[in-house]
Amino acid sequence: MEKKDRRYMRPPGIPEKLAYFIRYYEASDLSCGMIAIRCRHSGDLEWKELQQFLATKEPKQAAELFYEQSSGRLVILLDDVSLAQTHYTALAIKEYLQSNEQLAEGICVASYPESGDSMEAILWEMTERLYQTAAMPSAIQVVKGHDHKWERRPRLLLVENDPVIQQILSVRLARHGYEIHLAENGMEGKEKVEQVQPDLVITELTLPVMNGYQLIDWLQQQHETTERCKIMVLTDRRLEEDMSQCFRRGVADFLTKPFSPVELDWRIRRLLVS
Amino acid sequence: MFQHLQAAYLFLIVSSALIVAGIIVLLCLKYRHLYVTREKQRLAAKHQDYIAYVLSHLDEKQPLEVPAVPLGKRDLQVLEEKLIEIAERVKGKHREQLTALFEKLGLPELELGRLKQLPGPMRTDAAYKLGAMGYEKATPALFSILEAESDEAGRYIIARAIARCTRSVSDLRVMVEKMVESSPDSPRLLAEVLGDSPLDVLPLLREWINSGDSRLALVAMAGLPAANLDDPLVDSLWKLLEAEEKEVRIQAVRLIVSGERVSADQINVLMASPDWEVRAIVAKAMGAWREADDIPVLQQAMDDQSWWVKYHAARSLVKMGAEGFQALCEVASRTPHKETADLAMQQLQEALHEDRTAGQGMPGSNERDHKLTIYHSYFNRQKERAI
Amino acid sequence: MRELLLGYGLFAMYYVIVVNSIYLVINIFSHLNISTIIKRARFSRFQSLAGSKRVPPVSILVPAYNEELTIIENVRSLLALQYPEYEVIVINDGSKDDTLNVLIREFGLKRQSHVSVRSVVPSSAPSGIYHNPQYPQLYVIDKENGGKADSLNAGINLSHYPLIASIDADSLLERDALIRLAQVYMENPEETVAIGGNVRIANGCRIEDGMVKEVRLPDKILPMFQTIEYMKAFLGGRIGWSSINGLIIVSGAFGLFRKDCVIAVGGYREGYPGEDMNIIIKLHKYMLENKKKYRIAFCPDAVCWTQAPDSLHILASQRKRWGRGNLKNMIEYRHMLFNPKYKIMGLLTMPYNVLFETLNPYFKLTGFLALVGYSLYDMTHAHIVLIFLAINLLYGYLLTISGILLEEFAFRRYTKPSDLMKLLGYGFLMFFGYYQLGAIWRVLGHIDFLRNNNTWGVMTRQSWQVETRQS
Repeated sequence: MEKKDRRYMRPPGIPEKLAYFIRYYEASDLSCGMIAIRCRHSGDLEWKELQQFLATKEPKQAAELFYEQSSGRLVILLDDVSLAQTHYTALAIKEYLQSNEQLAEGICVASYPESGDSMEAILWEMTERLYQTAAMPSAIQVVKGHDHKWERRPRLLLVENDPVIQQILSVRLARHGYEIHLAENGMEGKEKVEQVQPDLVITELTLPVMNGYQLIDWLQQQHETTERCKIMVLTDRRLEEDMSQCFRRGVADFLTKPFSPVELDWRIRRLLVS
Repeated sequence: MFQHLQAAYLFLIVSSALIVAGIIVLLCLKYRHLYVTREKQRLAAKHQDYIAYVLSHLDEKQPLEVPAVPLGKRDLQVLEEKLIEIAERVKGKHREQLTALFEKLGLPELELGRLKQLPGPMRTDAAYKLGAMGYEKATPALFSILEAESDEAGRYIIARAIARCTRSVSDLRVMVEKMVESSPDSPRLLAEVLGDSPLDVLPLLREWINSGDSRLALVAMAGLPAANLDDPLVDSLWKLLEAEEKEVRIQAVRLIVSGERVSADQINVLMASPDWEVRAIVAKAMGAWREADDIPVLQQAMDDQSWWVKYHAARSLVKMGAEGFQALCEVASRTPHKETADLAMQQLQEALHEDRTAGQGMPGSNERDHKLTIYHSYFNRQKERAI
Repeated sequence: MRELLLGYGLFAMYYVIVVNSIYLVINIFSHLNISTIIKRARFSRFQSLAGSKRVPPVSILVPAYNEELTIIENVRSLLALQYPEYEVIVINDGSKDDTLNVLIREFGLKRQSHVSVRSVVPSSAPSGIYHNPQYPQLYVIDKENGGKADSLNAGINLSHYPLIASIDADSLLERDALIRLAQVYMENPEETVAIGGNVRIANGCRIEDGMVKEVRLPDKILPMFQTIEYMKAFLGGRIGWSSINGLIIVSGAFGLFRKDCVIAVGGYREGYPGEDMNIIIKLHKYMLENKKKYRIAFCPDAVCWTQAPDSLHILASQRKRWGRGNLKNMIEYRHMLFNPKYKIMGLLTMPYNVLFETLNPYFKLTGFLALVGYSLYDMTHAHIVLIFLAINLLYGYLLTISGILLEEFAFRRYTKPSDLMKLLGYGFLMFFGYYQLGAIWRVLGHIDFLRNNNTWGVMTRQSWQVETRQS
């Protein structure tokens, strides 16, 4: 991370007006959609054009904008919207900014209370995600709440040849703030394990070059030198022997495709917490 | 000679014309395809954020929104492809969310239109997409196309689409019966197609097993989950052991032995079957059950006429601990038939080799040493340094 | 005399037209059938099928002779196929190089001290069977050199599954190739006896880790010619032939067979090249004689990549070998010719094979000479020679275009427009020397047969890496 960015790891001081809104929402029953954008302004510190755009697009939606020039962080609060709705609105905002050549160097969406217990904590998380080097800087990041406090971000390695599954999992798992690494085949998976030292490896069984079983065998042999990481298998293979073979090799969990993403989320969380 | 030359000239002209036409068609196809690919890539990048939105919120209760930007025909095509890719890989309420999104985008109606109007592969494309989207209202149209489709590959694709679209089990029954009537026998593929349906097909399978129609019985047996067969089903399967068709008998016994161990009497009945496949399946199953009482049965099976029965009996014996191992050594040393002896020795050697690779000091090493001792006691080690 | 020469020349001309017309009809069948193939290839959900327990298990047989450079990569890629249950049986056919040891070292194989193999088809006895429980799917048979057919038979004797797939040791199978064949099989398991896969030329492609990562046309001229030849033969020809159940050959490089049928016909014929055509003819004959309903299918979207010879010497040796094998098969089964008992095989496929493949060079050459002779008599009609050549050229090129069209409709492996130009251009050039060479080699093969020459000729194996570095 650049030195310049490290300054912003602590949330920039929250302006009085923003703090006022935070107190208001936390006290009331309403939810609040939060969008944090890291961008440069085009001379309009009040972002009047953007406000107008939002007003025409969603006339019934109340939106408040807060911009800090020093950090280049724009925070938008949307009254009483869910996370999904916030994300949807952020799509429009991103397109608007891009069409006006105000490049957003990162967008993060969240919603109180879905994304966390306190808006300040959510804001902290959003800022951290925006100012760290993200894997996909142009993508909109989503903050999904979790009740477990991680000491550090869990590192996940996904060994999967199918690009669609890669996309599904990396998008969904990034919401939780996990650090996601990808490998396309068993050999690459092996290299990444050595490089990254993940906490959890999610692997397919039918992989080119070196298949999942061989990778699992190698991983289990590694426990002598490094700390054993947990292994979860997510595979196309639905034969009974595959499940028994995997568990015999000490795999922590076994899921077949097509899978339920929310079930996968829960199983991963359970494995990481224990 | 002159007419021959005329014929030849005519021929040359026609050929040249066809060649030129062919080259033009090729060039058109190539450039069009390139253009379409590039467009699709561009649009896929454009809609990437939207797809990420869909993926992030698949598990929410609220329905997903359609993109706010105006969508052209190709936009819709690209979105459809991407969303279908996702729908193929997820299940449960996420698929329902996606189905709702598809309907909001108007895609199923579009495909239904294409289904009714277009010929050939494009019609099959529409059928496939409707199945992937799980659009229930397409079922009647799919059925009428199934009637009309003459080529085999197409029929299975449409059958799959019906399985994925329909919400009524009786539709599935009709579909399978139609396929069984008009397509060559392929019970496994039909069971595979049936497996694509989100509905519970167990009542249907029960019906077919008891139906007396061997083709339907085979489809049902291919479709049954191996474990957790309840008693009525098992009883029906036992009845099928008497069937005329060999394949029915084989599949029935495969299912019967896939669960809990059957009684000793039943084992004896099965091992007396005239079909070697049945005996082989039972011999193999005994290795999974690991019941010490079966060891004598397996020893006897080593004298079977069929090589496969002996093969599976030997493999099962080595799975049954030191007792089974000893029983096999017994067979290997006593039998007069070279084939039996070879088979037994091969399995014994492999078992010892596997034991060795399992390592010292690991759980079970006592048993492994025991096996080695047994082996030595039967066979003179000096000649065979092969281990 | 003049009249005689002219008459014969005209006969040759009509011969060329008729023979090419039959091939054109077959091409039309291919075009008619291509939509079924496209449907199956695109919408059959192979990924889901590849994990299903209902797919029949397959024994993959890989005869290997002096393959130490490529065998590891090949076996590794075979162990990584998208297929639920299968085994890989490598048969080391008495290699003079280090093939066996390379395999033993790489996979930690141990010799099975007690061999129990049945003898369902005749083959020479294995001298050792190697296995490692850590790679439970892999078996290696070591035996004395006996030829490819003998090796396949030895593999059949060991195989544990009801289907067998014969693969060349230097072919690279695509990961979904086998499941695609299985789909075709599962659509009609009772009647399907054999299924052939598509063989594509790998020269020029970027190959990494035993997989073709990027498909490109070859740089050298000979592999380029062979690419077009294979396209014409497999897509234009075999699709059509299989649709009328008249397929005469399933490539030895990649085919799936029902083991019980192969055993019923006595396994592969040893001791002479052409065993891939031979087994298919035997299967047709057996099923027709026993009045069983059957089909021998071809699945062009199941792809196997192979190295094509890039030197004249090796190519010549290969073509002579094919000529020898072809002639032997035709002579061995000559009683099937024009015999209505053998339906399409007897009435169409085999006569066509005799007239087009086997006798083709003779008719064309003598016809050409006759016309030249005739024009020497009477220079005013010299252009008839040109007409003869033009008919050959244009009709042949038309069929080439048909093959390229099928590729473009259904598969589109070569995506750039420059690729298309290259295919069209080289396809034209082939008529100015390549096809003629092919004819000469075929004739030489026949002569070899008549002289009872029985070797496999020259083959040099290059490592896959070497191939890509050169190109």
